[in-house]
Amino acid sequence: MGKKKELTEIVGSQQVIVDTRILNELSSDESFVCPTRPAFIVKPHNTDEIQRIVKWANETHTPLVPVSSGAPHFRGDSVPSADGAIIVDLSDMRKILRIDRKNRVAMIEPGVTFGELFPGLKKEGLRPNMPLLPRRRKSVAGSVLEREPVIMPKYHWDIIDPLSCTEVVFGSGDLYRTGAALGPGTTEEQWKSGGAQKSHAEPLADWCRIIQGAQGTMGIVTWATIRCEFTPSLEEPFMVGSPSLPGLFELIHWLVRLRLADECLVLNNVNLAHILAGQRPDEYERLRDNLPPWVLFFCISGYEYYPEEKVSYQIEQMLDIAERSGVEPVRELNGVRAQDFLRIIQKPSEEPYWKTRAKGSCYDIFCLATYDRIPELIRVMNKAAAENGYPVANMGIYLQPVVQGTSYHCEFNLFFDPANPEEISKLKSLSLNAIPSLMDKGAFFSRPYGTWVDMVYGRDAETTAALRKIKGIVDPNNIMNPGKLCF
Amino acid sequence: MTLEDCRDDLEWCSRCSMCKFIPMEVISGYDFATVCPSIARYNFHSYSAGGKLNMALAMLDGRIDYTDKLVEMIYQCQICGGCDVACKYNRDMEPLEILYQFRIKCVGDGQLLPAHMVVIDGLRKEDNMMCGSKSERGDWAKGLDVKDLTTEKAEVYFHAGCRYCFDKELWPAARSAVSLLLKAGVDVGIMGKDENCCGGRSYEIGYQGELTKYAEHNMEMLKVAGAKVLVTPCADCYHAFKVLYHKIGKKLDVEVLHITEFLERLIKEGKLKPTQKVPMAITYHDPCHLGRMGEPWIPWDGARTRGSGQIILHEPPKEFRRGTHGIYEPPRNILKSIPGLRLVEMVRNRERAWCCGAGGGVIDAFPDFAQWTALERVREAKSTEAEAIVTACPWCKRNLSDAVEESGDKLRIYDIVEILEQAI
Amino acid sequence: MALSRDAYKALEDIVGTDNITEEPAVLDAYALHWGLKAFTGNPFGLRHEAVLLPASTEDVQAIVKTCNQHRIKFKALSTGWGSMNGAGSEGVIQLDLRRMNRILEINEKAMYAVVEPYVICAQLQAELMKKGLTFNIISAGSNTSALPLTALMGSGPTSVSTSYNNRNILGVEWVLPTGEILRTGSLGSGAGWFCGDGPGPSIRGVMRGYKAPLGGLGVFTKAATKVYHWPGPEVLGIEGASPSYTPKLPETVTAHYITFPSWEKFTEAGYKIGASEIAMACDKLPPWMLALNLTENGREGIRLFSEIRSQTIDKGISILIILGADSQPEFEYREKVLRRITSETGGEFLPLVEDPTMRNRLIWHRIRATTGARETFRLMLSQGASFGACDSWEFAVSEAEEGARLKKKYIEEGTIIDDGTDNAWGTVYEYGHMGHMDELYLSDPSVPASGQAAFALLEDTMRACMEKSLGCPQIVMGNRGHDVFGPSMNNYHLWARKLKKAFDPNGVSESTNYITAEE
Repeated sequence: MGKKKELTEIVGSQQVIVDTRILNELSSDESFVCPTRPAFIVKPHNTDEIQRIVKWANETHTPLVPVSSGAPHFRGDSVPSADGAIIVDLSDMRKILRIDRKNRVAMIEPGVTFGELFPGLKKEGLRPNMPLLPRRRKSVAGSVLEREPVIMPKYHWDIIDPLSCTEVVFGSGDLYRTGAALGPGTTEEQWKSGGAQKSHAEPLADWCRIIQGAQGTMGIVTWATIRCEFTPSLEEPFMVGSPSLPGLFELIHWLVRLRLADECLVLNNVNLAHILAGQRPDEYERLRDNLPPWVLFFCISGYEYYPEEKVSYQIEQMLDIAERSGVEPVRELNGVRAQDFLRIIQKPSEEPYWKTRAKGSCYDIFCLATYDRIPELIRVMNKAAAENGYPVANMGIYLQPVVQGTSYHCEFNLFFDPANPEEISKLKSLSLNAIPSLMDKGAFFSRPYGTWVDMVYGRDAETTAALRKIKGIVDPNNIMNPGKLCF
Repeated sequence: MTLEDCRDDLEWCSRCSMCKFIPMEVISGYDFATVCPSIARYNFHSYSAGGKLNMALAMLDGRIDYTDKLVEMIYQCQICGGCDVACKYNRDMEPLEILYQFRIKCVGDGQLLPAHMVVIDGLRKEDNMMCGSKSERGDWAKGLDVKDLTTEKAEVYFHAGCRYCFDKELWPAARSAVSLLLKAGVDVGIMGKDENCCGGRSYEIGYQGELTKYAEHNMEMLKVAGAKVLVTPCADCYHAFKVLYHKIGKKLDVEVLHITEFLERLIKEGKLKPTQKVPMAITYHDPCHLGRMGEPWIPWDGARTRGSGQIILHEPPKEFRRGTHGIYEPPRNILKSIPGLRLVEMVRNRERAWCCGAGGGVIDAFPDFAQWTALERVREAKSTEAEAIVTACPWCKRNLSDAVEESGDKLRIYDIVEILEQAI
Repeated sequence: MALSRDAYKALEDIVGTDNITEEPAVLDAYALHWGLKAFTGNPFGLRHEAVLLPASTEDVQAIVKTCNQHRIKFKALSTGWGSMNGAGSEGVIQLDLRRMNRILEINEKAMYAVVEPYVICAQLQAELMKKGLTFNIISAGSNTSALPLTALMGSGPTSVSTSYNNRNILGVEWVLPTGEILRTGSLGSGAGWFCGDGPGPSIRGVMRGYKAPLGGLGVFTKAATKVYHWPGPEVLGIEGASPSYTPKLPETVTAHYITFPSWEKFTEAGYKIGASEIAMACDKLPPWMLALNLTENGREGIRLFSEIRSQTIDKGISILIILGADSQPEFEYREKVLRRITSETGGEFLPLVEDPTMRNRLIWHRIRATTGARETFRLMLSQGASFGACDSWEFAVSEAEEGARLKKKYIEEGTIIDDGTDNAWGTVYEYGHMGHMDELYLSDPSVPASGQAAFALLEDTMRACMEKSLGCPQIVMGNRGHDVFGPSMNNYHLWARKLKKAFDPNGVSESTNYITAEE
């Protein structure tokens, strides 16, 4: 009770949640991590409160788990791994602090979702470089901090994108601003000099890169600047169906290399059908059976200057490359209009979240790999699925070129019934079997979650040691989401 | 001039490392991008021109004194001029001059390499750089029906050079050169055993007194011989006669030509007609002393000043020799005039050519380094898939031939005269 | 403090007798740095205790471990252009990485190249161009290391389309100051070079900021760098001889040098050109540097500068735009857009650069970055630079504008060379997302008034950065500099010290130019 009182003094009684039902909901998620009930949920309003919470947590050795997105959660990073943890729910911090059209940047608090950000961006003729169909309650800051892949690889210069700067309360309780936000001067003073908190790099380090991918183990972000892009004035989307991947990879290489395409991604028929089926799950099978095994989607866009001319020559270039690659881009693929798909993916997922439509939940296994490794990774997953009783025909696959084509995000979506213990058991076993095999075949788990963590860090002792040094600096008492990653 | 007079440039080196590479503009791949054999072989920065400038400044400032190692580093350099061209792509400096002055200072301070002492001793006694006997100097021309300028006069003086005179294996090329001139009806003569060294190589080793001595001697000789033109098949000698003599104020009063310039002229005038096919793929190696260093000397008697604030200028305006106007096209024109011959260029050609390895006294003092350098050139030549290297200097031919023999390679090495002779 | 014989022997056993020296002349060759005389009056800095030439990562690791054992400081250098590779303090050995000079891989489909530290940019670019690729060459020149962790900052003329070093790094092999080898990202997990981040947080965050650690965080022995598309020919035909080569470029590669009537219009144009994604290079090459770039000697450079002055500096702010296209329609589109933007913003093309020969020379000089030394050192002994922090394009222009304003008084009093006041070099990054500007100023440290003016101007610019929120200048190095800026910038220096201490507990990675663990 003492802790509740102390927290109430910081955030106010309305913002400290002790309701058992709600605490139970956050004691687990759609992943297979061990459920652990948090002691409380606190919902700070601002940076000052967050800093006070963190300092208090250091004094009381209370683990903190920062969460900015609403449920459902899928990765296990928002489930406490230690008893007595407090969830710091940032969803009430939902201000859009600034949108700067000229500099294509938005400054937002951690609770802002994609849906909440869109109207403000749209008004300024901007759009975010989004992940594929984020769920409605997914926070933008949460997404970029997790290094989720984005669907416009042309604008993905560096894996940190679209994250630019942050204000963060380190686990030590120190407040820090990363990148150009460091100063000199306040952010307002920087704006006067034309600064826009775009550069994430600092004179000597790049703390933003350390906070990103950390699953809240380094600190709590109180605001972030997000790089955006202009909204096109003309969009010409295409789809390419193929029984196999090589021709698609060849086309994608040039689409990205020559900066022809904005949105550019590959889905297998399973995933594409689930997305298209939308609110009509009965349509899923028809769609899936009508679609080729692989579908590349991309969009060629025009902007401010002579958009028709730009799009015209780029389409010509694209068609030439497609012919050499042995594939045929079309505007409509087996009854599916590319334009319709474009509209779908330019927004967050409609409810219910597309990954839950099939069976209620979904377990994702994802990694990074170069294009040439992907066919083998698919073979590994298929084998693991077959060996563990998961129907291969039900597995969704999403391939996303990232960092301007240097590699692919390779994601396997395993839809399952969360109420079926047998299915869960099979998936757990599948995951344990598949991940080492995937790593053996060149998969890199840049973003390890839950049960993968030990397997992944077990392969890289030096990085593990280095990360622990960093952790020791910013969170000496290990109060930030302990038990995650290698801490 | 002394090393101290070069202080301005010593302090001006910005350590950009351009002196280690061919000009950035013409680098066309990972391989064959370097121009300096010294640093390519020995790797420490001190071996590059920039490094030597740094060491020269350190010496002038009293920070370092001579050691065996320092003297070695100064002389493990062919004075090929590659660094000079590379530096002057961007800068108005004289790195090569500093390399000369550093050696002159070494000699002046008694810092002599034993191998060079032997050669210079031979020069002083027998007037040649080959430790040969002066009495045998003219043997290469035995049987040639050519004027003896000790007793006759001729329009053209053919100067064979020490290497040709005393390297018996190379005699055929020298003889072929004379034969071609005679065939073209040129009024040419030689000095035979009374030919003297040009003094160029000794200058490069740091013996500037020898250069002056031979310059004066050769000036006198030419006056007596009455020749109007001096032609030589040796690039080193060409450089000495054309450039060094002018540099030390002893400009010859005759037209100085390399054999390739003369032969090109004869072909243009129709006096030599290459009609026989020579079906071969060859590559041409630009001798340093004919190519980038063969650019005419441009006298300048001025000083560095400050203008408009602190801008560094040369007053009067100085025209820099940047390797632009070396003798590159005459040999190539000769080769192109030969039916059936296919010329393929190496990456490092013309002003950015890689040295054969022989120059600057290296062949005498550091033969392994000379060979290493030559092997690098052979490797480059082979990358063109040429069957042979053609060059225009006996030192290049000797050093490259030795390298090929050492390596067991089948690549042939020709002097350009030998190739042309086949076509006549 | 000479090396103990035991230590020397241990090091000699690693690299071999031919690859280590204590010869004073060699040490002095490594101790001389052009920048030092301006600050200390002496071009020679501290001597290293020895210079070593390691051949491999294993050599480097063994050396670093020996250094830890014997408490010897070490400092690595690649091509060494800049005083940052100097000893900095007593008791330092120099690791000259010249023998580590291989291109290990060019992966065309995954768009990266893997290099060792002594591959120079020209070599890598020449090999990349054979595959229709290029990469970001830093503005200092292609005679520098292609490793994206060596230069001070690492932006270049083509950063509008090729970004800059901080953002181009993929997998890195890194010998830590303790001697362990850390391989970042996918490399550490055995998956190859394609990703430098993770698992989880990215160690790239420690490795560098917008500045590299300048030898203070161990030795980077291999790195993968992103590469980009090159629309030009695979092999350039180049005629002529040094210094005036004439490259042959296709009609679909061109350039324009455009002067805008005001800083405001210049800024607007930069944004528009960036966002239109038409430019290969958006390179603010000031008229002074342009004049030196295109001429064969210094006097000619001055003459040309005065000739173009009325069309450039006296009219406004200038920028070089290089366009390249894979097809004629693409080329025509890009030209059309550029002309429209130029018209909208009141820009004017410089006729000199419309001449095909001059234009092609300029394009190649900038794409290959060949003329860094010509544009800076040909006419003066010292070049200073200030500002240079990176944020938005407008921020970058503020840096340039302020730099020009501050320089004016020194130019008027004749203590700094009259380069027209605006001699800022900088660039748009990533199609308009970011930018930076360095303000360059040219002085002669051997002339006392000029040397003092250079210092005073530097102080003025530092003050301006603090007072006008213009970031931390690139030139800020070492404890002294960071201790001044740190307190105004969230104490970044204290956090950096903690990282330094954690990764270099014995303090053996010489970090005079980076930051030390001790305050």
